[in-house]
Amino acid sequence: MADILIVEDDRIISELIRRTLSMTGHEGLTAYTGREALLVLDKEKVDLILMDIGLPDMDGFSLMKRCLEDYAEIPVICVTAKDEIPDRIRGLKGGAEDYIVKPFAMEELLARIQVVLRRFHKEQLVYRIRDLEIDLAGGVVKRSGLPVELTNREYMLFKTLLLNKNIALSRERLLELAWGRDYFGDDRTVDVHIRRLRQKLGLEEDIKTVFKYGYRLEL
Amino acid sequence: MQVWKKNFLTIYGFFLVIIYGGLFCLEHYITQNETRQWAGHAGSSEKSLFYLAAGLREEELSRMSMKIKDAAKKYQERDIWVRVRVNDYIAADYLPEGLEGERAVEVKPWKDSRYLLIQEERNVGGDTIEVTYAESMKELAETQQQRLWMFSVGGTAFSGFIGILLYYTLKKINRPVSQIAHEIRTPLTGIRGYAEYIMMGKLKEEDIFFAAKQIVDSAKNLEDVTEKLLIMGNVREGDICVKQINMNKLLDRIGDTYSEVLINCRLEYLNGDETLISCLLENLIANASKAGKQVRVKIDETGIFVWNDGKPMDAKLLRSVNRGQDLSGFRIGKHGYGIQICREIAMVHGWKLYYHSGKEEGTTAMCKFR
Repeated sequence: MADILIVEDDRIISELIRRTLSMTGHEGLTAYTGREALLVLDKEKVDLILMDIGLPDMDGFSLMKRCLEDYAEIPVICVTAKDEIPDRIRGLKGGAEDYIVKPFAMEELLARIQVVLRRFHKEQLVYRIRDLEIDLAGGVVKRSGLPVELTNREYMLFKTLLLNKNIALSRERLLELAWGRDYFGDDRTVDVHIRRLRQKLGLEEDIKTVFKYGYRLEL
Repeated sequence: MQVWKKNFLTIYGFFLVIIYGGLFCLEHYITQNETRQWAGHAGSSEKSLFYLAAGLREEELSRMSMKIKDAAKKYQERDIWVRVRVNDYIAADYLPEGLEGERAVEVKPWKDSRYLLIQEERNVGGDTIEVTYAESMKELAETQQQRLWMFSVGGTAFSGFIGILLYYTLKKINRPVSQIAHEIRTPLTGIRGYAEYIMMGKLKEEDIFFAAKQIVDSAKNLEDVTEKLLIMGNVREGDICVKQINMNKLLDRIGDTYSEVLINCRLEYLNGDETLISCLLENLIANASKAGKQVRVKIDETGIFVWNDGKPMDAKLLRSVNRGQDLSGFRIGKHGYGIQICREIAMVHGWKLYYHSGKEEGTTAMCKFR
């Protein structure tokens, strides 16, 4: 999984992002000022930067410019409370790969991180869970070396759970992520697909039901 | 498009209609008056020639002709063309071909100019005298055109000035709204995020406790922001209650919260709104405590001075703060709104708040009583 630098002066939010990233298997490095961020970049291997614009010692745009000059291979996502169009344009034109406005849903942040990592070919493509091998690039799931036959929906549902591992996702959210926004079916469809996934992949214990909410893949 | 920008365009459009409409009416009125006066003057000039011809009609034809021609030449020098006929005899004819008119008074274009044409034919003592008078309107048109240009340039400059003034005024009015949104979003992110965190994962008891504590802290921050907003609202409404404040009591209360701050107060009483003054002092001290390790407060007859030994403020930022420019959190960390409130509290009391910062002397917030 990826090493992500969180440049955020608000310690409460910085810790929140770090914990959420850690739950999904990412490594969160924290920096509370622009200078600290540059020090971390100098010493550590970083795959992606989550950057707040309002930093106490320098503005995020200048820091982003420096990052792009010295660490061009590291993508930046702006995470800020500034939602005005000129700020968004400035951020995106300044080199940010994405711009997310506070307050945000953690799932959304994770999804955007995933997209940016994929764009930069830093996404983890092969996962192993006991005897299961999941190749996201090829869209193949193997169990004890043998391919498991999954329908398109089952595969999408499993992929969603896998990318949000250890996070409880509501049925509505799973429908939205795996079936798409246009799907108008009953959310009990999710239950049927989860039952089949558990059987086919032998994940009866790993895919947990969150009472009156949804499901979580616990790894 | 943001609402305030739409408002700006509507108001500015209205202003433009008023400015240019007003200028157009004024220009029309002046032009009409000027043309009337000029035509009156041309009429008098024509009458003079007519009376000259009437006075000379009894003289010998050649003498009369000579005198009228002399007068006509002088008229010609002023770009006025005339023809005088007494009965069947043409005493002077300087009227160019093509400039003849059909009516008694008319404006006729000829070559590159327009001419006011006056034709008068009357019987005087049995003699028929006819005077045709054509005066060029070029000079008048030039004056009027020049004025039109001046009005256009003046109108454009004035509307530009009004536009800039209006734009920045509306932007300034809108700024607190976007600042409020910015200030509220940060604690909201914490509240929402940690609530989701509790909901999402399989957490240990200490993680749940930690997340709950963060939610409480964020809610406190939010409460603080709303408190400040209420105070600011009251200040802006002018809803203040001025009375004599016992400074010792007030500072004792503040001292409990900031025990490490050195306070030197030489005033026993101060006139002002107790809640606002308390908010002003707390904000200044809180900002100073965040900026430096040592904080000193001095209050005397001249003002309130809060000093800290922290890193000096950037010169550009200091200028912006002292000029009362954009004080969003983006530019001065998380205390932008606090300074804004302090400034408004100082203003409503008739005081002035400004900062002084240097490498050696640290940073001092000075609220000077006037």
